[in-house]
Amino acid sequence: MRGKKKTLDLMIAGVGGQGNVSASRIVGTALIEAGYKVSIGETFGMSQRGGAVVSHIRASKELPPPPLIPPMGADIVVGLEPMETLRTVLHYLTPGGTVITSVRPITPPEVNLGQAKYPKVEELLEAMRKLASKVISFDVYELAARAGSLQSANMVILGALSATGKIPCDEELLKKTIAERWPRAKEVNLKAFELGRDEALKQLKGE
Amino acid sequence: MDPLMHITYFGLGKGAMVLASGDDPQGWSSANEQDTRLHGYTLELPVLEPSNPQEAKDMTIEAFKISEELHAPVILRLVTRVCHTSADVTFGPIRKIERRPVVFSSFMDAYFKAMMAKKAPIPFLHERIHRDRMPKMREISNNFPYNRLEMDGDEKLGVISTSVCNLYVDEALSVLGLEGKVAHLKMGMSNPLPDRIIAEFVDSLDEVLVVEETEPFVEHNLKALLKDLSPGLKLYGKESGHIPLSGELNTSIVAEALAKITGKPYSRYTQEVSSLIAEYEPKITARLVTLCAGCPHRATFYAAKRALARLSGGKFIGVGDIGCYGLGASPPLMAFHHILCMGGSIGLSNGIAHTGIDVPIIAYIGDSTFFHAGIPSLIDAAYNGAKITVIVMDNGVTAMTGFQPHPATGFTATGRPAKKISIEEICRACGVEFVEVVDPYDLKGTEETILKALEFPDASVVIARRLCATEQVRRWRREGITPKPFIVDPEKCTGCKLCITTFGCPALVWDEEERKTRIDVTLCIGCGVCAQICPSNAIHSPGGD
Ligand SMILES: Cc1ncc(C[n+]2csc(CCOP(=O)(O)OP(=O)(O)O)c2C)c(N)n1
Ligand code: SF4
Repeated sequence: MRGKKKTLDLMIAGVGGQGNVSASRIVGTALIEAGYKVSIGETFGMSQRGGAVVSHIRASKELPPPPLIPPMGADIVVGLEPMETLRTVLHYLTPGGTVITSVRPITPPEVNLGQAKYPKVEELLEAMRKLASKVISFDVYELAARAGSLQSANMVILGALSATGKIPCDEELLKKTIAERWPRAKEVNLKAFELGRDEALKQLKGE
Repeated sequence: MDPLMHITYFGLGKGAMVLASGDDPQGWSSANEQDTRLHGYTLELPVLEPSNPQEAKDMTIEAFKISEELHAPVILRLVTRVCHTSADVTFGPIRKIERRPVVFSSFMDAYFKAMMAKKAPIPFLHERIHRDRMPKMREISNNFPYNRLEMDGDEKLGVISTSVCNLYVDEALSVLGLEGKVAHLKMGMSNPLPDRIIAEFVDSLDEVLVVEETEPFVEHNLKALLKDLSPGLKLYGKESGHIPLSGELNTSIVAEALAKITGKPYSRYTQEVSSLIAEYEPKITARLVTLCAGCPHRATFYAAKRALARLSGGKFIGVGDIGCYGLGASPPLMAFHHILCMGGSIGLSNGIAHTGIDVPIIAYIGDSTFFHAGIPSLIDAAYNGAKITVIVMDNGVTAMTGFQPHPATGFTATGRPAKKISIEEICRACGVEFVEVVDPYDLKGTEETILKALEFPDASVVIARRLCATEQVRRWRREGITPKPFIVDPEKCTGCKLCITTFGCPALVWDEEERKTRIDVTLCIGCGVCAQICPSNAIHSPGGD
């Protein structure tokens, strides 16, 4: 039994250092601009050092929402690393929700050392498709490199997020927030944003 | 605690003092789940518990006001989910306060006068707290605007919660469709409990659930109150098993407790999701944290282990400390066996050395930790003749907590330039006769120096100095410099995997199909240390050297 949902719940998953905390700040700031009460919680070990990091972004028109999204509560899961995306999707995605994920694995130390096996990316995507109504997938780093900097991978994924039309703030507001946050990297970041957006639009139309 | 136990007796004289303490239920980035509210109880000081960033800001102002009123410190007890949450915060008017020093009569004056008069100074001061401060604190708690009752009066079940649990309770009630059907006391001040508000709250209720992190602090104090107020009331919480006695709470845990009490159906996952989790979760591997690509600590550990292998066939006792380098305990480095608390490494090593055990003893301590708590125990080692080797992991920042400065960095916490305090001079002044500085990126040189230090007959120190790689990349980025990743030449790589199995930089990725190492260009910063390790000279810079 579940009561009516009062929040928009978005999660960004990734590996420490990929920039998902910065990405969540951008979405959060834009949602505040759009008139929402926003809270961003994070679950992480030591985020800078290669552990799994998940941002919980919650927006509500009424009260400030609690900092963590409950299980099966996320409307959208965005992931910068495919295994981390699935880890989050399994526990948090509302069945029928939307998933955007990068397909380039970042291999955990256990896998390099031969103590564990990294699953096949296709299998990860297949699992996501069982829960989500839509899975948009591409290599964020390929697009980031095309934009001119690997550091802009998180902006690629934001561009893709804006294409879904699932968050209540428009593309221009996100772009403005990005440009103001990093004025010096504005050009590369916005290019990355556009590349991610175009790719997602293409995949959305293809379906 | 020692200074606080004194301040609580003497009072503050003039001014105000607020102690913000961040507790970490679940130990997300701590090694314990300390509940500061119990310190508040011991210190007989007010404890405020904001539930979100807005309240944290607003209650800080309240805390200062209360402190001024009581002439005593006020504790602002925060938890991870308040500290590690970003949210929109509305500011009130910002008052500009003139700050000027005020002279007031000395504590000792009052203290001695009291001692002369009463011939028993300490009980007199303590008695004063109970006579004067405690009733005032109780009154403040009863009138505290963040001790809020949400009830109609016809509810039979009530929930008392503090801090972020207020929000979990709200959401759990909404998930269960119980909104408006359960009375809720949201408590923003938990020491002392607001006895009159609680009396009003329990008056019409049959059952109460207490939701708090981490110890049953409110629960215990509430039980004491209920003995007189409502002895027949059914109380649920940690001791009844409805709420766990350790770990962080969340909406689901609260919903489960409420479901158990009310008989409402609730489960975290649907059948469909549960079976998907069961199918796919085993295929997802763990992702443990590891030292960053290019981290100088990794190079230092590697070199030290080489030195220990040469000296004693790899037999040694290693003691770590708190900071990024704490990650050196995990494979493949496994650089130390023991770790306790911030600054514990040198003290533990001293103790181990004085047992007379006959293996090399090596302690690793970060530069920031050294300043914080390493110096007294280093003096102990030198003075009492503990034959230990201390490696100061000097990466030029307080990396793990966010690259804050420390006394060797040359600037203060507010960014003001300051004189640099030299770690090597401190070590020498502590009485250590072997003090050398090395660059960990020079693996051979570091190994040789650590070997010499280990062979030294007394306490020895090696300072491994190289800027934290992540801070380096941050600085490069500000200067418009991009790192230049190294390359593995597949022709030369024999697949021996030594770079991964002995060094294990996360940028070194094992390609299972090719059975060769490759370098992840998104991670490598081009430090070149792995190139010094590869026995086949297969790793080189983009320029070819
Ligand atoms: C008593 C205590 N205070 C503060 C902390 C929080 N803390 C964890 S790591 C750390 C800094 C470590 O810095 P440093 O020794 O320079 O190591 P680095 O992370 O730079 O490798 C601090 C302050 C703690 N764990 N214990
Ligand atoms: S943040 Fe710096 S010190 Fe910490 S693991 Fe990374 S490179 Fe090493």
